[in-house]
Amino acid sequence: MKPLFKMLIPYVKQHKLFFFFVNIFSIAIALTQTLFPLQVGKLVDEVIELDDKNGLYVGAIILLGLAIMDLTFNILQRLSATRFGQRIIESIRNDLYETLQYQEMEFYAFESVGQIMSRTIEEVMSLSDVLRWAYRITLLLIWLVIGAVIAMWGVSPFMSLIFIILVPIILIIITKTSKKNQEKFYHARYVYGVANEYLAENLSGIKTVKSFGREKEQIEGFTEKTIDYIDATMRTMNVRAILREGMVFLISMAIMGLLLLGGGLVFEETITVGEFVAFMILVMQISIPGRWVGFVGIIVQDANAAAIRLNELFNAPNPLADEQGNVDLEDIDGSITFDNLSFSYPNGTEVLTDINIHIPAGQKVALLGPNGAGKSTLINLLPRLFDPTKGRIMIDDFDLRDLTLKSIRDNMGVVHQESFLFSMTLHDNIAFSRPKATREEVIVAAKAAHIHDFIASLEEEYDTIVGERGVTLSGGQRQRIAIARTLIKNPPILIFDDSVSAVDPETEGRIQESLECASKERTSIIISQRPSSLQYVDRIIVIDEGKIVQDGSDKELRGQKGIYQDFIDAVKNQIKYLSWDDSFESETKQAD
Amino acid sequence: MSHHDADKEQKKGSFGYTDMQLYKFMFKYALPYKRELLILLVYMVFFSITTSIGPLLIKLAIDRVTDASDTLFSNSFLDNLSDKSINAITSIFSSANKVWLELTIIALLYFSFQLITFIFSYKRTLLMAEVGLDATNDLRIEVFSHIQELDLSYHDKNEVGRIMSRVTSDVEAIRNFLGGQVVDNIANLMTVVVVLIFIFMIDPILALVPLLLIPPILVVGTVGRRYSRERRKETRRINAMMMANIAESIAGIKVTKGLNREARNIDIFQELNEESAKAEIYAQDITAFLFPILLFSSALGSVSLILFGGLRVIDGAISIGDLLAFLGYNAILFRPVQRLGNFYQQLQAALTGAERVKSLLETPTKVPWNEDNPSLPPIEGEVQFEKIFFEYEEGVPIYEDFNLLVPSGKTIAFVGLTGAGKTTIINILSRMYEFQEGNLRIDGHNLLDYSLPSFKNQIAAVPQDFFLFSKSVRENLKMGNPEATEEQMWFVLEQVGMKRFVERMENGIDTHIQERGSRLSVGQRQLVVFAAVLLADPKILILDEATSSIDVFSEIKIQKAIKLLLKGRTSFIIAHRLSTIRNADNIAVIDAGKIVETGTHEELFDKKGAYYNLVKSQIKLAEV
Repeated sequence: MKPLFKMLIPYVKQHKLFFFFVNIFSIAIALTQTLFPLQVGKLVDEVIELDDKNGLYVGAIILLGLAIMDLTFNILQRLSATRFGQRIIESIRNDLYETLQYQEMEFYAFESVGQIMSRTIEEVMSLSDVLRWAYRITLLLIWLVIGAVIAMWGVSPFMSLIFIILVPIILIIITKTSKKNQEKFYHARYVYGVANEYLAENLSGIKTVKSFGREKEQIEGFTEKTIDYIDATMRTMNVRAILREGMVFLISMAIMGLLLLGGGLVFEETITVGEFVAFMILVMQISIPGRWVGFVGIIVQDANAAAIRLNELFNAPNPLADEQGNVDLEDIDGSITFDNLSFSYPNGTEVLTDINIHIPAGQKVALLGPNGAGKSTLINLLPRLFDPTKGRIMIDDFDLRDLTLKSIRDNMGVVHQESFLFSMTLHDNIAFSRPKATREEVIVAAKAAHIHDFIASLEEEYDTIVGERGVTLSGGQRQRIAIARTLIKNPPILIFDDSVSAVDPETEGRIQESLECASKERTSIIISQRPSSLQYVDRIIVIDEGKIVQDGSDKELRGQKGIYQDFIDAVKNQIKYLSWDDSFESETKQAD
Repeated sequence: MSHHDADKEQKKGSFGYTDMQLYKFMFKYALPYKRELLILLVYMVFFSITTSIGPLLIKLAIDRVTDASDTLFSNSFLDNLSDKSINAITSIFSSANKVWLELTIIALLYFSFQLITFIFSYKRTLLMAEVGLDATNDLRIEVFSHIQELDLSYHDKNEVGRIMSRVTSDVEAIRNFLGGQVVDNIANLMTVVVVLIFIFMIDPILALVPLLLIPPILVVGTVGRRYSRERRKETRRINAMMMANIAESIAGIKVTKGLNREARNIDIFQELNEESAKAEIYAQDITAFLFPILLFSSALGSVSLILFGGLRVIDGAISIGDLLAFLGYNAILFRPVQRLGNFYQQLQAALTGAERVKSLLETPTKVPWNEDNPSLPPIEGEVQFEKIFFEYEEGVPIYEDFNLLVPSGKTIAFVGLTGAGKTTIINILSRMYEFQEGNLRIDGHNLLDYSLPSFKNQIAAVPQDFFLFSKSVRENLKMGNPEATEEQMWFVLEQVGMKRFVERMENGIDTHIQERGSRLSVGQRQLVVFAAVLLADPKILILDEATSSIDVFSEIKIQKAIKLLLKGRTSFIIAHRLSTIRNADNIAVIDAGKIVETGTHEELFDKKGAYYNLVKSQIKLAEV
């Protein structure tokens, strides 16, 4: 159970106060619950046996007082336990989210959304059971046993010792079964994640499923996954049932053993009937949390499996993490050098081989080449989404690896091939990199990206929410917003990945203008297939199969035999691409 | 009827089901397991009897050692029976100390009862878990299947995260309820009944004490439940928001990285998380009061028993042993009450879950599967739209009277401005949405008279925003035809010009292409989808040409592939490429829900009408 404790201890330290209260009130409860049986015992011996009715009334009132105290402490203990558990969960969630945010792309290439989701939600929930419930029950049980030992010591040291024997028995059972059970719990959790993964994919791709009429196959696939889940869960159920009911059995046996022993001692006149009654109620009170011990064991073991899965997230290596001595990139000129660089994805073939490029500050470069040539990979390396496998990338005279990640990205603006927008307002989407930007600044960026007019035409203008619950935007509109969101950063280095697509030629022309304007003072790298873009750049680099095959200006490369000339020829002969739409997918939804 | 779950929930504050309906709904899924339920019932009866015997043995033991009375029950027949059997046993071991011997017998009796209880509880817990799992698995698959059947208008309006939580957490909540606490509680309630019978037999007057405490407990429970339900709902709402936030954060991680936005995202999440923690605490605070109050009632029971029982002992009406038995029974009686807090929590979660799942299942698909209808025979592919009337929203028709006949094997290209309704008409044909009036005929057959799957087998659609699954290339190709052989796959990959690329990937055709196919470029993804279409070999093809820019080299490949796709099929294309349009047998210019012009490229161009203007303006602008 080490992983669980290791994970929780630092958080407990963070929330010391609630922890303190949970403990204090647990002791208080144990105290009243120990006094209650003693008082009953006293009543039996000194009142009922002596037929003292008045004494009985007084005794009952004392008992009532104890019960009320118990009620109060119980409420206070629960109130603090709730806060203790919930605040820790909150902290763990925050840390988890932070870890996920700072993880790099390599991590996301291997971890599916379904698995991450089930980790951050289900796994954290199971920790919350431990904190809010299992800890409270265990604590109460421990104090009650201690109280019983002390209380019974005066009556019969022999009997009080019996209580102590219970503790190791319970502990041994729980820890002995722990390791094997934990594997089962872990497996069940993992399989659940796999089923979720399947579900998430299916829902995201429902249109494709329907287009091919593959609903039946999907249902079969899902059924298979859920059956795996059922099998795995059923295996944990057996463990649960044995532990839980077995503990109840054990506790009942122990209680009966104690009671019979007590009865025998009464008969031998070693103890009085009242003392026996006190003893019996004590035992019964211990049995209340005691009956749950098996369940606590299950929850703890399950939570331990959850903690292992969470730790896998927390401890996932981040190869790009800043090392000590990394410096901030400040006031740069913006020259970029790819120095003998090669790159391959983990387990993959080499995508880029021996790339040597020097881009002086302020130069505008277009990357050209067939799909899969490695253009996108090359520009993914610039904001250090990945590290090169060989060679290095320099900005001015700094190796990227010697710089802080944040400062690298602060100096770059990237517009990705697919523009993902968040379901927040248009203002917030544009101000994504500068949350404190004023409306004026947002409008300036939107105007530069030629999207302001569209936004102004919306009912709520910049406060319109994007996404499934709000306005649906066309590919072209999304892309222009993505451009605006980059321009607002005003970065010295600008990177555009095929960003002008799916817009009508008129808009394209306007974006082209704004890009020209935006790239004037900046080092710019553009992946583009459009002749219009190629005309205004200073330099064209042609990449094929991961290697640089041509490098020069439009003038120099024209006429040269090679991909560039092929490209120009193809464009000439290419059948015109007609874009009468800004949007096709939005068409259906606007009507909703 | 609204298709939007969130709307339904917000408008009414609930889905408008009564609790009774929800219980019925949940238990419906347990019903098929009648045999198991019967066995469970037997287990529970045994459980309640063996549990109830415990305190009786305590009474017996105490009475023996205190020499109080010899009666076990106030019933002479049972007393005689027990006395006789005990005397019979003691007479065998006459040399032993009588009291210790009796205690040993009692201990053995108790041990056997507890062992039986243990076995029954164990079997019961396991069996119930199994019934719960199996029953909710049926439900889970039913929900998933229903989601597959639901038409696109539902999916348009409900986020992936929201639908996901129906199949996961909502169904799990029902499982927790059906497969766990509900049986515990039934068993405990049965025990309560048995215990009440026992204590009335021991002392009917003292038995009134615990009985009187039951009504106030029920009142407290009901009141608490009412409050806690509202607060629970709020926590579920916030948790759903938080889930959506996490999902979106992961989906947009690349943007976040590029724009150094992590810190602000974390702030936003922390606010949401804080809100969630507050809501949780607010909801749990009710239990924090409710539960100790219920426990207090148990203590109150003990105090009253000691007071009134003590008085009756003093009066000599009952023995000390009787009193102790009562105290023991008091503990058992309140056991279900102790669990009530936890149970309510599960019950609330299950009811909320059932409400949502039921509502989802009752959302009808607008495009029925009609599986009982006859199968559509193999078709030639002639398509006829006859007086089609269609609206997404009542009163806002997109098409009022759409007519079009496309002979089999021909290609028709739809052109027109944004919002003209081109996507709508192909979505009607691919049965993503249901038209309200008119007829859709295939080879003269009225489509609605045939089962939907039999039609879907013969048609394939490539939406503009198609999706690749994060599985292997092979699995994605299987979307087209699950039975395709290895050779067929390589053949179609070669046809679309992807063979070489796939061969070069580390695991060839079995290489995983990561979430949403992010390892492939836009053009490559499209080619893979085309390959899947070739495998499907549909008679009718629907293609919404992608508008994303693709490099010129891939463009040429794609155009070749499109030509290949169109061969021998009736094809409907929302065209963006002049080449596609030119190759079409017919062009339909659509404007505001009507076909304004039809003809070939040459015919329409010469006509100098809408088509001419459309193309002209586009070409002029495109020439930079």
